[in-house]
Amino acid sequence: MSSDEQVLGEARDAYLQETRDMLRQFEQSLLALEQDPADAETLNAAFRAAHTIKGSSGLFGYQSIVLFTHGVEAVMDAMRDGSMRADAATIALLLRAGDEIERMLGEISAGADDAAAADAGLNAEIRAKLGEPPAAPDAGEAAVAAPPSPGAHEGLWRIVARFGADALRNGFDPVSFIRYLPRLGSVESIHTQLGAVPALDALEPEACYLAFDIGLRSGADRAAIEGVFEFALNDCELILEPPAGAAASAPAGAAADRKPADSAADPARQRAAQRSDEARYLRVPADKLDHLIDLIGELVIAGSGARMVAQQAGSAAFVEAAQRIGTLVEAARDGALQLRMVQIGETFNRFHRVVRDNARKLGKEIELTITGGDTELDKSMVEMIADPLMHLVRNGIDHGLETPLERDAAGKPARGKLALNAYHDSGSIVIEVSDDGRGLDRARILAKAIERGLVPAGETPAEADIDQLIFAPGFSTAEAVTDISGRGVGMDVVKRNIEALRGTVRLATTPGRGTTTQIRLPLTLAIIDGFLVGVGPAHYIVPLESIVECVEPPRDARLGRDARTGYVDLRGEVLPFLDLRAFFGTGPAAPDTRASTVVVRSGPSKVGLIVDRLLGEYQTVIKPLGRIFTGLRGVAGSTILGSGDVALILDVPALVAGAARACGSAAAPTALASLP
Amino acid sequence: MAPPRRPSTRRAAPSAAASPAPAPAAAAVGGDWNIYRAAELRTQLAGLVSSGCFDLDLSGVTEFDSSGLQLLAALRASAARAGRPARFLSPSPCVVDTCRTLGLEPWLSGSEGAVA
Repeated sequence: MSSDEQVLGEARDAYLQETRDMLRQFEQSLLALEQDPADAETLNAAFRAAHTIKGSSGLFGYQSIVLFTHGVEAVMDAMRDGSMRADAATIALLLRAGDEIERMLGEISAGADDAAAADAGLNAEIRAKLGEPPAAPDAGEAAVAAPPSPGAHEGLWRIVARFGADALRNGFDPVSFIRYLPRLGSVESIHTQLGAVPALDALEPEACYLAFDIGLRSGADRAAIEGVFEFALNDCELILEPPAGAAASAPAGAAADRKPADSAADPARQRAAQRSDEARYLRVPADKLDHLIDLIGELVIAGSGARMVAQQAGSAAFVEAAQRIGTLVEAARDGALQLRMVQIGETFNRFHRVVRDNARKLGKEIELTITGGDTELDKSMVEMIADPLMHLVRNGIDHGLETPLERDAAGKPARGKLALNAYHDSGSIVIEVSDDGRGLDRARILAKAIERGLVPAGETPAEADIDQLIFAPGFSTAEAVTDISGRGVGMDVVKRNIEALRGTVRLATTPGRGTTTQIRLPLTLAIIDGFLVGVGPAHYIVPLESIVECVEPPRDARLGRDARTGYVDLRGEVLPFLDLRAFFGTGPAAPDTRASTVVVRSGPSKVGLIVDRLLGEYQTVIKPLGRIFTGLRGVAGSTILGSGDVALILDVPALVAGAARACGSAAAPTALASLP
Repeated sequence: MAPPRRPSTRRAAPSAAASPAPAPAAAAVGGDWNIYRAAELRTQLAGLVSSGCFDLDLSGVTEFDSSGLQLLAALRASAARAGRPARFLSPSPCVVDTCRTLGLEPWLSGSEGAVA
């Protein structure tokens, strides 16, 4: 790939990402507008989003998107000046237009040079809204341009625009902005200031020296005029002087609602605020960040190595210095991990549309409440949690919440409630999806579970345990959807996805009152709270959240009998055990070691791991294993200890499954030992 | 509202139009007067200026953007320093259009309606 193509490709990726963000914002604003049609600020936000989409699509030459978005913008323009009402039909149309843009973006991200023209039917609807005849296919942009609303406070604006030295290099052509102005009104006077242009020998041909002083007679408001220069605001100093008397007459006009006290503010300060706002965020490629976090992980390890050397050297000053460095390195690690954190609110907000559309489709009234949107979690986790969340929300809408009639009959308000909530709780993040619908029918779940052999017939588990049954694989199949007061398909998939993130999911229901599903995730995938154990010369880390307890080992293991697996009696419970020494072949223990059993849990099964030493809790950075180790069973990753030794992180689910298999396949338990 | 989109006419003919110069002293500098060629044009114009030529035949200009405008302004500044007038003759439609948009028609008055 040539470097040109590469640069272009990267720019295009950024464009796609930014435009998708903008589309989301567009959608959010429209949904908010649907709730409160009089809110001029949300309308403006939607307009700005559409406007930005159009502008950046134009820069990339995606004409079909520009043309289509232009119509969308015109509709919103009419809404802004009050000539069109923000009614449900209009908003629905705009939402569909947003979907259409999303589709076009899809084509572009699939590699098309330009998206196919927008859906003709939709285009015609937009035009009909604008009171325009359906477009001839060759209608240029000029034909679509929204005429400035006539008659509204026409006045002479003075516009002083001074372009920065980099304007041309950044791809702006100041003249094109001036060419656009006649669409807002008539340019009464223009003075092009060329005093700054040096003589030829001193001219930097790609620098911009231009400034304009323009008199524009227009009924447009400040925002509309500023909008013309919006893309270049970083490269253009803009001063607007409103028509004389406009300030006095404004409060009476419709335009006044749009711009309350704002016009009094110093435009330069506004711009500065906007600029500093932009400067607050940096877009950084994720791999650079990961590299940084990797490096800091290495630094942590090197730091504790240095501390050990210092201690061995016995120099107090050296120890103190090493300790200071260690503290700083840890702070740096926390800071770096913090960089990967994003707020979950954005993910939550996507569900507004899902709820709205599905509620409509099903004839239900649903109110979505979002709390804790500012809770932060790891970026990669946010991406992976989106699908399971969608599943839970869909389930709540489809099956949990009843129709208004049913709710009425049950004595509940017709409008159902769906809530998304997130909060931090002791080192993990908790996400809850709850509804106030009909809840689960435990009797039927139990019947189904017995039928499927998940629960032995005649046994009645505790109510809370019955609720968890719907996560069991093979339980919620397609036919179960309609059977069991219809909790949906694939709850087992939800559970698997969440467990893959080292998280857990639980469900609680009150029949007739609603259901809450709680997801609990670790804050980050890069760090694990572990428990360090020793087996012979080797170190292993057991994820802390999977540990149930630590107990004395079975007698046989203490006697040094070489039983790799077997059963022990744990307070009357049959517990399979796995001797890690035999399992990993780490060689004989020192004679004086006093072994322990670490009881770990994966899902419903428990296994005892027999180890030589318990070394305590250990928070550590996870390092993936190299490719040659991918076939290794029972090991999920590695980490490096302060001493420089490598410790393997145990893959508890795999070990538990392995132990269960090994025990099951043995003709008879190797040892049915009893715990002392 | 105005996507500052650069026209994608980069293919247009480069400089030195072969058309016969209407005024003997005017140098024909045609092609795209845009940012992509601004550096090259500056060198060319600086060469003309140092040889004492301040009259340009702009009939062959196929694109004319802000950087082109700045080149003309710079040429005028150079001419003013030399105490000579700079004349822009037979401007092509795109030059006329830009100058008109920016209220700079007086620059072209030397062209005596030679607009194509």
